[in-house]
Amino acid sequence: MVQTVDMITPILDDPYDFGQVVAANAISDIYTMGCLPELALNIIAFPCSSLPIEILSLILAGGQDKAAEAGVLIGGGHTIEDVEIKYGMVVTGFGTKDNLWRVGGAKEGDVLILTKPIGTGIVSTALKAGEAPLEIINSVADSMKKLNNLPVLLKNHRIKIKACTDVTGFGLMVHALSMINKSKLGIKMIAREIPIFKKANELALSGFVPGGAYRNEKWASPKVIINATPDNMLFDPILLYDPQTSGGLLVAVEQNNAELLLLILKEAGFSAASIIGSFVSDEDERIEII
Amino acid sequence: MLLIDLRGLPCPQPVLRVKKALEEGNNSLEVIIDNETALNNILRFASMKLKTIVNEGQGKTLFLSSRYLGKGDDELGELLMKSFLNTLLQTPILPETLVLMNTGVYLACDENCYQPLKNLEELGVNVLVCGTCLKYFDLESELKAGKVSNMFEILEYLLLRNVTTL
Repeated sequence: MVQTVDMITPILDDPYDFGQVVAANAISDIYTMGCLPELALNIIAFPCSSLPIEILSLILAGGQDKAAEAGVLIGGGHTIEDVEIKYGMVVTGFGTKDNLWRVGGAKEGDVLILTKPIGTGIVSTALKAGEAPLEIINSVADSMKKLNNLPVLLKNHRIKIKACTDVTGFGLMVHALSMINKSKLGIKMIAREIPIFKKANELALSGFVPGGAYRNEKWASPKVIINATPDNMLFDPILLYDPQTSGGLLVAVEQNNAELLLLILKEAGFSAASIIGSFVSDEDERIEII
Repeated sequence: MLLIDLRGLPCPQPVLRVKKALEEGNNSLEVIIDNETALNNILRFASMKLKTIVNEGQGKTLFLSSRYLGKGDDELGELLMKSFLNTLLQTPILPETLVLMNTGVYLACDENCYQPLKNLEELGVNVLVCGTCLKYFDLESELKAGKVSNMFEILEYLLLRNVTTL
């Protein structure tokens, strides 16, 4: 049995969509461990005195529907009054001890797949400023609502997942670094292969970067070497540190499984999934971007 | 120059206000912010199209005590100084103050050098020229850029600011 808790503040204007993102985001932690989610409890903070209660109903309906899609039963929850909306879930899932996916465990030569584009933090910052085009908001919302249900997709396949984590608040670089912590491995990442939301780069260059991205950059940049030429890296490096909400999975598999896994992901609607790099030997445990 | 106080505003308000102020036709802005995220985002935004002076409570002061950059060959030093001022003009982040002293004051008078200084001044850089030095070299009527200053004011910048001496 595995358990997890996750809670976020609104990142979308549509309450029903926001509820779905909360559920997808919270449930993702269970999938990341290679387990199947079954039960959840809501945790909510809502300003009952200043916002109509219908908004709360819509948020909860979004959470309920997304949980149902994942086969999760919401057993109840707890609500408090607060000035800012917060919504999260405590999720319980099950798996077998021998098949748990862990953050570490990749070996030299394994490849790294990212299942969703990055840039949700930057786009939602621009959204707060009223500067994000609707089309982009919709594509980011669709991605955040999408369940990271890789364990379900792999039920009938014999692909061994060597290591797995999800890209969330610490951004792509910090989460990728966590996969090589104490492994004497490095990651060689191909800038061109990193999927990025349309317009996210433009919005980053316009200054719509959340504070978390700078904190992530400060922490992780000593371990990140950018050797890509401007021709190969067509985006602002801050995107590598952008905090993600309901971001994709970072999955390590053996090279000979990579194409099949990519195919499975694409068929399941992860259209941006991409092999973004590979694990190499490196005493200093760094990420090299080429 | 329009002064906007953006302290206390959460991200992304500061960068948005800067963008709006420029769209409203202000060519020059002075912005007060109180956190690193706002600073980084405004610099990101500005690096695409603007010149920026960062004054972190203690603005950067460049102290130019000679018309030549570096010691050794004066001909080379003069070329280097000209190139330095022109390059400084092209960098996105500018110092808050330039202090010209001793033969440095020639830079604000010389036909070939004053233009970049004048441009820096127009971008909001405070160019201080030592009055005593101007008098000594008999250049008072030749001054083409910067404002005449005194030891008292110059000392304040040298003592209280982050100074780089060239």
